[in-house]
Amino acid sequence: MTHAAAPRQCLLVEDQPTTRDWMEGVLELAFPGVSIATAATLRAAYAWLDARQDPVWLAVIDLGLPDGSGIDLVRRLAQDRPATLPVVASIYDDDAHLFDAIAAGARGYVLKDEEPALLVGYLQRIERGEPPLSPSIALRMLDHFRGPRRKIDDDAGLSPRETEVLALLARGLTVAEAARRLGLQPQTVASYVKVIYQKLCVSSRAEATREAVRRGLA
Amino acid sequence: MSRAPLSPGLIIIAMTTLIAVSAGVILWLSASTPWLGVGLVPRDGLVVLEGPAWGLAAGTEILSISAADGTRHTIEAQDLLAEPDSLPTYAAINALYDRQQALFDLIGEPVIAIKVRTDAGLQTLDIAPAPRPLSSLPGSFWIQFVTGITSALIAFWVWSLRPRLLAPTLFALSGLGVLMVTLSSAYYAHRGLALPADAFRVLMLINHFGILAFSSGMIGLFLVYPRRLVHPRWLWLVPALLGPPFVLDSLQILIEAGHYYLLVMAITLTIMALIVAQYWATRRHPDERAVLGWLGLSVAIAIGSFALMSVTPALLGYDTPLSQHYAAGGIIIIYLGLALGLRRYRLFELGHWAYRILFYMLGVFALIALDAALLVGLGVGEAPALALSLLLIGLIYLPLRDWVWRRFFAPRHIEEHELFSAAMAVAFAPSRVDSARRWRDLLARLFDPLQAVDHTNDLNAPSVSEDGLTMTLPAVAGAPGLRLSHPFGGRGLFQPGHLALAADLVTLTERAEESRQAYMRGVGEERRRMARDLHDDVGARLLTGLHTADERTRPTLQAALSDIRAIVSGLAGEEAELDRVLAQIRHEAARRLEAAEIALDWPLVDALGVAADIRIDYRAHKALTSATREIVSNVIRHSGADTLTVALECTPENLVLRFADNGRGLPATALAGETTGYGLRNLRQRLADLGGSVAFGRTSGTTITLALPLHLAEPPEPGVNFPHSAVDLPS
Repeated sequence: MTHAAAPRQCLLVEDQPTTRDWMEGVLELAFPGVSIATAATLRAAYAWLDARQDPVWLAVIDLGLPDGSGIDLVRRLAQDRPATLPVVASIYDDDAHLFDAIAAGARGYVLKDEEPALLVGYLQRIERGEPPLSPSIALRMLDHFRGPRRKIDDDAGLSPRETEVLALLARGLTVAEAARRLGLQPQTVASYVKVIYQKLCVSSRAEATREAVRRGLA
Repeated sequence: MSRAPLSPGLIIIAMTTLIAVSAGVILWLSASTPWLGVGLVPRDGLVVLEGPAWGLAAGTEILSISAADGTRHTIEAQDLLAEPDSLPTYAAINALYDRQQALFDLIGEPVIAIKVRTDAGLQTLDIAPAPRPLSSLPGSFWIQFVTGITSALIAFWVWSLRPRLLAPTLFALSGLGVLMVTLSSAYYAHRGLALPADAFRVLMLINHFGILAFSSGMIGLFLVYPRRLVHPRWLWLVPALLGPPFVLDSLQILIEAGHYYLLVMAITLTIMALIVAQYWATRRHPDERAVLGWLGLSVAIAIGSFALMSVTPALLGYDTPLSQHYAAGGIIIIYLGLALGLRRYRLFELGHWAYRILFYMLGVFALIALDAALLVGLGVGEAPALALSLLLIGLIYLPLRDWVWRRFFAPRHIEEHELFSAAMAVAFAPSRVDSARRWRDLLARLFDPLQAVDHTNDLNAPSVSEDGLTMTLPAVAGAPGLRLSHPFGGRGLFQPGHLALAADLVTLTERAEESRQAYMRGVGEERRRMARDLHDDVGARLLTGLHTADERTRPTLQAALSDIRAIVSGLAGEEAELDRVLAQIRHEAARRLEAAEIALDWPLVDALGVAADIRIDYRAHKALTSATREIVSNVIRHSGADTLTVALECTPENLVLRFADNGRGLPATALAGETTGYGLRNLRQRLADLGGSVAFGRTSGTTITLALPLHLAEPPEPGVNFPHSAVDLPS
């Protein structure tokens, strides 16, 4: 075994054994040869991460875990291991859950009751750097960045082009379609979306800090 | 112009009092001037009885009257002349005044002797002159009286709402002129027989200066309205040019009496010419042309008919016994026309809300008139009747009057605790739209503004401007910023107390809003807990089942999971915006087709304006989502197509979605709706339950048309809509 051939490391956090097995199958289908570590609880996942210095390439995280929310793990990964792609796998598709996950730093969001073939497609697209963004999330983001409090921190504001992209996504276009409509490469639009993700992450972190200061916690 | 804060209510009370007092004085004068008790008319240069009186027939000639001391005066037709200014020379006018004085001295005697010529010969009667009962005043008196009061009321009504604008001020000046002209003329022209010379002179002066005021007002008005023809500073030229002839006429110097009617004619022609000039000036401004069409037409008709009926005969030297007073009634056309056209043509920038204050004005006028009538009634009553009247007034009239005043005119008051519950009701309304509506209702209850318009501002607290005429409120509880003007039905101003009240209310509502948000956070917390439980227990089990299930049970389990999602996200039972639902459906289809490498042609319809305000029932939302999901699944699994085209048609009542693929098409049995193989039977059932339909067809591939009626919720009201008060829409 050589370094060059070292398999990409993936962490799967899922408490339900059947679903975990099924998801492992999906991951192997999507990324042949990937090395998958599994954890059933947050605590196990933290322990696994602490014991590990090598880069982790992908983390697929369930939200409802016996000892807490997967969001916490997403946030920690986004802060401590920026090279890791945190992806949330959930059964919820409502924008509140999605928005929280994205604000925490999730780079992808998949539904566990999708057809395996579809799921494989989504995961491969995340790997290629195409972040998913549903219309309701796009709307929520637009609201978030347009909100009255956003005016103060300009560093986390959206550029006109980014706003344009979000507005198209909010109307139900996919990244590729939005790119065609704007006369851009899909990668360019995807990079806009990634920037928007980061800005949301920054702004939600700033907001959390502000909130903490306001409450006298920090 | 004065910058003193004047509320429309204050102006109205002042002006209505002025009108009522003037009217009262004229009635009192008419009723207290000595009168022979008979109607006299001129006929063929003689004075005859208008109707049978004193036991004599109508048409009996009156020759002279004499006092007990032997002073005797013949009576001439000239003594009954209605308008002394129709005489050609000042000498004739002064002679008339002198004869009036002499006659007045005579009829001031307790008993006078009147010599008449009957068919049987000359006859002398002893008559006691007495005050004239109002009921004996002829119709022409009342026409002038009502014309003056109505015109002035309408003119001052308009002015009270726009006291700072030039055009309404000039209009009010004309109304004041009409009041002066008609009331003075009503009295002296119906004097019975005689007035003191000095009184006559003063009345003529008032009459002529009324004409001056009316003319200046009208000429000024058409110089600046609807188009500004000259700069307002030149308006001073109007009285400067018109004033001297009037002053010369009053002083009886330089000009002769006959020139007066020439002057009036010249003024009439000037006003007509200005209307024509305005017509030309407004040729490229249809809205102003419409205003002119209405206002200019009423003025032209009114002064035109007046000129034809009274001034022209006087100029040509005909006697105009009383026609002028009927003609004066025509002036009312101007003011009634304005009142009727005000809303339609937005005259003087007023809207239909202005009518409320007119009703208020009439109420105030009626009350003042009633008070005055009671006072007069008391003054002439006998002593025991006086005591009884005082008692009745104290016990019945005053409490009733007070009640009427408070019921209809006094501002309403809201108690502290009511204020609190009102603020809570605003914050805790079922929806943002309701919140905004309740907020507006509350403001309407508190301040009763005639006008309320949406107003974008960055205010944190309310502020008052235009000397208390308007208050601007920040955006609160989902309602936009508001600009309220003419508070208390136009009868008051925003005082510091009202500002403090509004500020309290804004703070209170904001607090309540914060509480509501805290409450909603609690609800969200609870919902998340339930969601966690559902996820951990039911969801996980269903998911496990799903991942081990066969093809036949998978759809059921997927549907169950989707129901759980709906429950968790609180969607069930709620309405969703159609354009959001469509975006979500389109996105899902696009993603799935992209994964299956099938092109999607589903153009965004930019003209989908109708969908923006439509909210659809959750069941419709779900039916649309699952129907599209099903159709897309079929395309992916069975059609072999490489393109799916979707077309959307939307009316406020119906939504039609047409799906067309270019694959191999459905088998005939599926088209007939008989097979269950593609899950399409469920689709048919689901849409039928909601009153919709699904139609299958085959062209090059399969076409499926979904039609679904949209259950419409009330669209949000555009602008402000106070339930009980008139409201102006911003123009």
